[in-house]
Amino acid sequence: MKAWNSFFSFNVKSVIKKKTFMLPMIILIFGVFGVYFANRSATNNVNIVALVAGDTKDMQRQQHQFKSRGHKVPKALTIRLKRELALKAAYDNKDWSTAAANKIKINNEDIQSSKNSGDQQGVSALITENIELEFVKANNVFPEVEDMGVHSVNFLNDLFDIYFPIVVTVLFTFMVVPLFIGKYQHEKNMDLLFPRSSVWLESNRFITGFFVMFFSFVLLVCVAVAVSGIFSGLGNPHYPVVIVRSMPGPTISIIKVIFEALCLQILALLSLIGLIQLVSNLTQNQNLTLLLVIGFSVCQTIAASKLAFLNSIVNWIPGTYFNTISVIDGTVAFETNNHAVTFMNGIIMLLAYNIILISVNLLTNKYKKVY
Amino acid sequence: MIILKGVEVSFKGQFVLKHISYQFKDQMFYLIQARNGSGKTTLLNAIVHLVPYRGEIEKTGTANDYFYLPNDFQFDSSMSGRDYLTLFTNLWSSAIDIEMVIKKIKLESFIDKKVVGYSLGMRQLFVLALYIVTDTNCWLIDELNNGLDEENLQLLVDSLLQAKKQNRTILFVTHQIEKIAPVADVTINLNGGNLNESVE
Repeated sequence: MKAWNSFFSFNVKSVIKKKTFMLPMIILIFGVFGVYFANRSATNNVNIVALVAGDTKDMQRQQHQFKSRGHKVPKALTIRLKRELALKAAYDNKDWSTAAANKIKINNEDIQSSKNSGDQQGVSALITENIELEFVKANNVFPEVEDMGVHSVNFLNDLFDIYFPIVVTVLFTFMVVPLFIGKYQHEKNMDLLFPRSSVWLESNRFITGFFVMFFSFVLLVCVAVAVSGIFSGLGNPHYPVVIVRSMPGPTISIIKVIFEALCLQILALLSLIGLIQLVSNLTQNQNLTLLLVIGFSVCQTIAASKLAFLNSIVNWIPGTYFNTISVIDGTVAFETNNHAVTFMNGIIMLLAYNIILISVNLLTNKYKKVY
Repeated sequence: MIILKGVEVSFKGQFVLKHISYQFKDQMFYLIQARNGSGKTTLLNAIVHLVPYRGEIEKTGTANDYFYLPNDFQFDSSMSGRDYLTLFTNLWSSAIDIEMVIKKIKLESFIDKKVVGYSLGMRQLFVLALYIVTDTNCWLIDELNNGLDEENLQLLVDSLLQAKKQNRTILFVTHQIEKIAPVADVTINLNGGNLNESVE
C-alpha cells in the first residue's frame, strides 16, 4: 500500500507541476471568467426588454404618426405599447414578476401571429419562453436569457451545455497524456525497470489520471459558481429547464439537470482517461496520442449535432452523452429524432464504454509483449 | 545469478551481441569493458528485457532483487531528486534511510531541485543514490563513472566497495576502467559482440 500511495502521489505531483497541466487550467479558469462577464454584458442587450425594444420604438413612431395626422390610434397598438412600456418599467425596477407577466401577454399575442403565419418553430420558442416566464412571475426571480445564464445555477448549466463538452475534453487530454506516455523512452518501455507488474503500474496511472481530471473539473465548477455567485447570486435551484420537443411542456428543475449532467460528465471523464491510456500504449507517441484521442472524442461529441447520417445510431455512440445538458433536456433526441438518447441510456452506455475500455487496457497490459 | 544462453541482439540486421553465453554468479563484481558503441548498454538492456533478443536469459530471484537505470533514462521534468528517492525506496519496498544516503553521497545541496537541471556529475551521484536506496541484491550499472571528478569518483568506488561487502552482485559496464578495475572480481571484454573473461 505504501508503494501504491507513493507512486500515486508521485504521479499526481508530476502531472500538476507540468506546464501541460497549468496552461490548460489557466485557460479554462480565465475562460470561465470570460464567459461569465460576456454573458453579463450580453444579457443587457438581449434580455426580455431588449428583445421588444425595437418593436416599442416602432409602435411609438406609429402612434406619433397617427396622432400627427389626427387619426385615432388603434386600440391593439395602444394596448401592446402599454404592455411593452410596462414591461420595461418593471424590468428597470427589478420587478421581475410584473415584467414576466407583461412579457407573457406579449408572447401570447405573438404566438397567435406565428400560428397564423404557420411559423411552428416560432410558436414553440415562445411557448418555451412562456413556461420559464411563468416560473419567473410566480417566484419573482431574474428572467435568465437562454444560453447566457448569469446566476450560478443557470451559468453552470450553460457552461456544461455550450463550452464543456469539447473544450474540457480537448484541454483535459493535454493535461494527462504525459502521465501515460512518459514511460516510453527511446522506443523502450521503462516500466520494465520497476519491480511492479504492468497492470499495477497502469491501474495506478488510471486512478491518478481520473483523480486529477475530477478535481480539476470540480475546481472549474467551484470557480464558475463562485464568480457568478459573487456578482449575480446563486440563482433559484428550481428554475425550469424546458424539455425540448415539438410542443414544449414538461420541465425539469435546473438543479436536477446539473446533477444529472455531473453524473454523465464524471463517466465521460473516466472514459476519456481509458481512451488516452489505450491509445498511449498502442501508439507510444505523445503527438499521435493527442491527435487520435482528441479527434476521436471530438468527432463522437459533434456526431449528434453535425453528422446527420448518424442520427439513427447516435444513441450507441458514447461521445453523444458528452453533450450532457443537450441529452438531459432532450435537445439531442429532438434534433436527431432518436428518442433513445436519454439520461439513463447515457449512464448505461458510458458505463459499458468504460467497462470495455478498462477491460481492453487490462488485457493489453497483462499480455503486453515482453522480450 | 544471471545466465545468458546464446543471446543475440541485432538492430536493423546488424548484430550488436553475437550468440553470447555466460553465467554471472551471485555476490560477484563483474566489470564489463568495451569501446563506445560495442553493445555494453545493449547487454544490460537485454538482461532487463528492454530490448528484443534471441536466446535465453535466466535470472534468479524476483524483480525486486534487481536495479538498473539506463544511462539515457529521462527523468520527469517536474520532479526533484528527493521525489525519485522516495518513490524508488517505496517501489522496491526498501527500508533504507533516504536522509542517510543523501548525506553519505553529499546530495544535500541539490536533492530538492529538479533532476533535469542536474549537471552530469550531479546526475551520476544521484543515480548512485538510487542504487543504494533500492537496496537490491543485484546492481546493473551503466557507465556511472562518466563525468565524475576525482573526489566523486572515489565516492563511487567507496560505495561499490561497500556494496561488495554487502554481498551484492554487480555488473558494471564502462569504457573507462581505471578506477573501477581494482574493485572488480572479474573483468570482461565485450568486443565484436562477444564476451571474453579475464579473472583478476
